Amino acid sequence: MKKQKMGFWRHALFLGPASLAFALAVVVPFVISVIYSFTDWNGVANDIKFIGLDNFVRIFSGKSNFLGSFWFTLKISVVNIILINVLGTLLAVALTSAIRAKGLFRVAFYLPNTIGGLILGFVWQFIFVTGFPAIGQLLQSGFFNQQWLGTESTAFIGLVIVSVWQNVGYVMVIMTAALMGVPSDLIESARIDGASAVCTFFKVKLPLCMPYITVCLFWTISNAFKMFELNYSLTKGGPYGSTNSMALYIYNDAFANNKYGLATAESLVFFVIIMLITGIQMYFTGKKEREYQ
Amino acid sequence: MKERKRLLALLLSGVMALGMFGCGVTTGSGDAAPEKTPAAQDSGEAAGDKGAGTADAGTTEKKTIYIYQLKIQIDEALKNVCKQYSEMHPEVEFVVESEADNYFTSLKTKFTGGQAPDVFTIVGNADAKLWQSHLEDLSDQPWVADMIDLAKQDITIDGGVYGLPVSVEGYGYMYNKKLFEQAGITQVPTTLTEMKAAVDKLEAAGISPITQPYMDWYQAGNFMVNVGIARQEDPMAFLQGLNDGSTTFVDNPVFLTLADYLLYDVSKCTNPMNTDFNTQTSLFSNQEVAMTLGGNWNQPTLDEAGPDLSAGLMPFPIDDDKEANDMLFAGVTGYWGINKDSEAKEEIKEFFTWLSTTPEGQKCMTTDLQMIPAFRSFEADPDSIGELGTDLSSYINQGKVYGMYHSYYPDGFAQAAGEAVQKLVAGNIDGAAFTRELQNGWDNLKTE
Repeated sequence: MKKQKMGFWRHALFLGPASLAFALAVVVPFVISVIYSFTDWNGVANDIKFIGLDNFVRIFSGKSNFLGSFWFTLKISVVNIILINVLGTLLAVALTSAIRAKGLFRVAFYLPNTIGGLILGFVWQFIFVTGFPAIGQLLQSGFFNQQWLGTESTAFIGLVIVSVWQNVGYVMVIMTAALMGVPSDLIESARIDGASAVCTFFKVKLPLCMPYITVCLFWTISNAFKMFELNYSLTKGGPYGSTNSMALYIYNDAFANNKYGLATAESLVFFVIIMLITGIQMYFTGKKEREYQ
Repeated sequence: MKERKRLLALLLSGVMALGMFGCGVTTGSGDAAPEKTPAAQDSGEAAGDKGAGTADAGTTEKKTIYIYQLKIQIDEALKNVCKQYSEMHPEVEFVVESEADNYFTSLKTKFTGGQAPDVFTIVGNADAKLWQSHLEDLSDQPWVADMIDLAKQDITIDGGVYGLPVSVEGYGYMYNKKLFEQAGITQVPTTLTEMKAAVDKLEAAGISPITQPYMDWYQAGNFMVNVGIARQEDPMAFLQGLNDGSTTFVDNPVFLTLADYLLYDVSKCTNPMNTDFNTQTSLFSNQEVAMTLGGNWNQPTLDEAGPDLSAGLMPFPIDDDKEANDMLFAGVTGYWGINKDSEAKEEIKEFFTWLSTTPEGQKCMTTDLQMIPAFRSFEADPDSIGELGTDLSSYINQGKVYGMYHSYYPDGFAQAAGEAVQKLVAGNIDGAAFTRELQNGWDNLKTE
């Protein structure tokens, strides 16, 4: 009996602080936001009215354009995730091969990742708005003379360019570590067996990197869906709201449109979507990992 | 038993440490706005000082008035005015913080984060209604009777007045006088025909005629769409009608005319969808373009560009009705409200009364803060308000102004309207669809 009780205290001692921190910083705000999602609170007033499921009806009936921003986020996420992972892995391969000044290149590609998204957005906005036309005038090139942030498709491409440039370094670093961790005896025996470099890469190196790929995918997926600062500073969701990511849309509803209740309902939907997608991803890559072990 | 006690003590201290961590989280969220200005930190410290005010309890206790306001251009001047006032009234001291871009977000987070300012900017009617539960009723103040009607209407809710009008602002096309002269334009155009003739002359002289920041929804949604509302026969009734469904944007003749005019305007711009506020300002300040949408709030920026640049305000001529076109658009764009839970309420009221009723205070408003006052008893100082302000003042004095109604929009409509304008000028939709888009935006955002 006494022993059991001591067990509880011991658990409480070691797990308690972390659990309490988690509860205070995550669970409590989450529960509060669930409550707010059933209200029409405007974010300021003292009187709050419960309106049942109205906010959710608004979202799914299309009265609020949240689903539009969901499609945009989905599209840009897919493009971003593919480009970031493929390019990041290619860079890692290149920078683990026998080229000169590897360290320099690694630093150069990783550097954008250390700058905050907001600043990057403002810098690139300047490049798109002022830099590109200047180059275009110099070269008489139609490509640079486009109104880059002014049309739906080019604004989309602009966002992809900047976010890939920003995030590719992170995947590169992880994949570099992974590739360097592949035991050299395996590569050697593959070579002796007559496998080509490409074959070695796909059949030996990549499978052994699977746990790292899981991490990269998880990171890029959840990052891509939570995209906010770049849209906020680079395009401001424009032109005409066509590049509103889900997170930016929620922010605008909460702070610009004074619909705090609706915004919390949207963020709940947002939470469920991200949970589903990353859950599915973890399931499949986890399965792959086990296959290769 | 002893051991258990010790464990308990450990746990408790852990909980206390966590409690502190918890507080850290809540105050931190107050600054969760994407940009954190150094000024915000200053104010944070100042707010901390407030509690420590008892330290110099030997003398009278000082009260700190924390002003959080939207007009970044007057930040420096306002700090000076406050300093002057503190010298006369040693019992109060001021902390002034100004922010433009994230003002509205930061204000909310300041209130929820427990750092509510004592005085803050209210931009108009909808904003006043939003914050009403936090605002002190100022109806009994001596300056209320002196307010011009334009100012009173926007800040009055259920008969109560909730803010001190800070200044009258107005807009139209901002034009470069020298470039107009170069092109041989002797009189500012007041009709569409004259406008087209002027633009042709500018183009013939090799001057780029117009630039507009169509990349941002802000000016389009707030100022261009307001042209259509202000030119309705009875704008207030029109707005009321939009809310109860008796009037509509759809196929409204004024808005169709406005749409045609915007299409003409955009056709004379270079890269309109890639022009943002900064580009617009720099093009105009560098005298590379003759006209752009602008108001007297642009004066400080133009002053920085140097004495070489001479600019004026002219109407926004959407059709050929001379009388209806020869007007500017004006309104009170900012009020200062008092936080009703502020400890320094009475001191702030005194400060407001000093500003608006005593000669020294009025002088601070007109020359230091360079404002066009929203009061009957004193006038703007022509040397301080610059060319744009002088043009605006003269239009106001002749009664040739329409109102500014964006403060009556439902929250978020300015953006929806701006995006509708963007779609129109990008060639995505035509004039009729533009009016439908406006109506949709209004219907989705109005509060039932």
